[in-house]
Amino acid sequence: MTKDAWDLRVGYEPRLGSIYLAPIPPHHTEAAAFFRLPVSTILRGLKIPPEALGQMATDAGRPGVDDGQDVEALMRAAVPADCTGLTVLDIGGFHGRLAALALAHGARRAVCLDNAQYTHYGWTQPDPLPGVEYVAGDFLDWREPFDVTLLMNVIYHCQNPWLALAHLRSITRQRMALCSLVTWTEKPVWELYRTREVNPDDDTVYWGPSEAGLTRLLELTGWKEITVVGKALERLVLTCRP
Amino acid sequence: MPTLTDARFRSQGTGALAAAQERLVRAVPLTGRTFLDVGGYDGTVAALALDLGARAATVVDNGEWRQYGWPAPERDDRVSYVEADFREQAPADVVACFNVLYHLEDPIGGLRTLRAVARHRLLLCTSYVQGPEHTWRLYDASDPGERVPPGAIDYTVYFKPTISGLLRALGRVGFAVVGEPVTTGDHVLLVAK
Repeated sequence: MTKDAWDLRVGYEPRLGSIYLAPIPPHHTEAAAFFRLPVSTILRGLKIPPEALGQMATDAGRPGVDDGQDVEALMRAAVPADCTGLTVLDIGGFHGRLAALALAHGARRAVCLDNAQYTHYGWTQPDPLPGVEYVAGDFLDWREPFDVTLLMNVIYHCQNPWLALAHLRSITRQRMALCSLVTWTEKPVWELYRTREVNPDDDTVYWGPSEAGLTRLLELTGWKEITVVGKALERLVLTCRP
Repeated sequence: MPTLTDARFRSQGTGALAAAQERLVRAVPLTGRTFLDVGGYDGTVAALALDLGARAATVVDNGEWRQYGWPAPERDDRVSYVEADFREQAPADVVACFNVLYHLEDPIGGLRTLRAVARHRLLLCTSYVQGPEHTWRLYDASDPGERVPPGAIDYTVYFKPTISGLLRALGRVGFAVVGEPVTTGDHVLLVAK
């Protein structure tokens, strides 16, 4: 079978017990593959331990704990199902959809606080959602306590995550939900990225914590009852109490 | 000529680390330059800089050593001592920052400040962790089992970098490393501009 475009074949070599990738030129069969590269070699080159791939595959198939794909669903799940009478601060909320969800869950007030850093990525200001209050500013300048705070995909933009989490605790009365990219290592570390390493359009990504590193910093800044909502791709969503 | 391994330089110890720190100080021409010793405690490094030709030397130390039960240091009359956070300090030509970085909750911010106060060179010595990753390991200083070495008296160790993580941080705030970093024990030493 031949095609007009390159084809990337995933194959299995039983003599080696190895899964491989083979790019095949247009109008050719696999016999003309540009190369056949074992997945284990790719993982080694990317410094990904094979057991991490196995864990990812296991996690991806664990219903209810980790959908493996949909980080938006996890973030929605981190918003309390009952927000009746609560105030909710959606930090870095951009479009404010989570703030709107909190209103739908009964919140009496929902504020979307964003410093407009999204303009770094070329995003334009979103249309406002009904009922959501939009405030432009840096959350480190925010002083008014809220019952529920949401810090989705913000912490890795902070040069000083210690200060960020400590300050967030000072303005959270009941519960905080957080989403961050995480690295695979088991050690309690924060990986430091070069400017624009993670996102070529974004010069503000500093850190990629491991799950253990993020949990430890939450503990060191006084957060309690740290509960993982789930993991999707390289993102971790969790909740905790001040 | 005094050296950092002299007995009077108690704060720097007497072993390989002190010798390595002395080599670092001697690696940079100091004649006529101002010298700032961040976290300098008794000012032994600043005194050495004066001996090597620096025209003025200042120690800035926030007094955190009191948490370790250290005695009040004997001071060198030639050195100016300031008890303050180094982030409020005026610039100097050459800045030494020995064994301070891992005491900071915000190491990137600390390096950014050092970038602002070091006009010519930064002499940096810090404890580090092994590994090829570009990471900073976070310690729980309240847990005695987390202290390095175990049972150490220091309650204020927060982040320690891998060498690669340290180099990234230096690059991120605008420092360029001069020559190659050297290691002794679990410490890495380097000159940056």
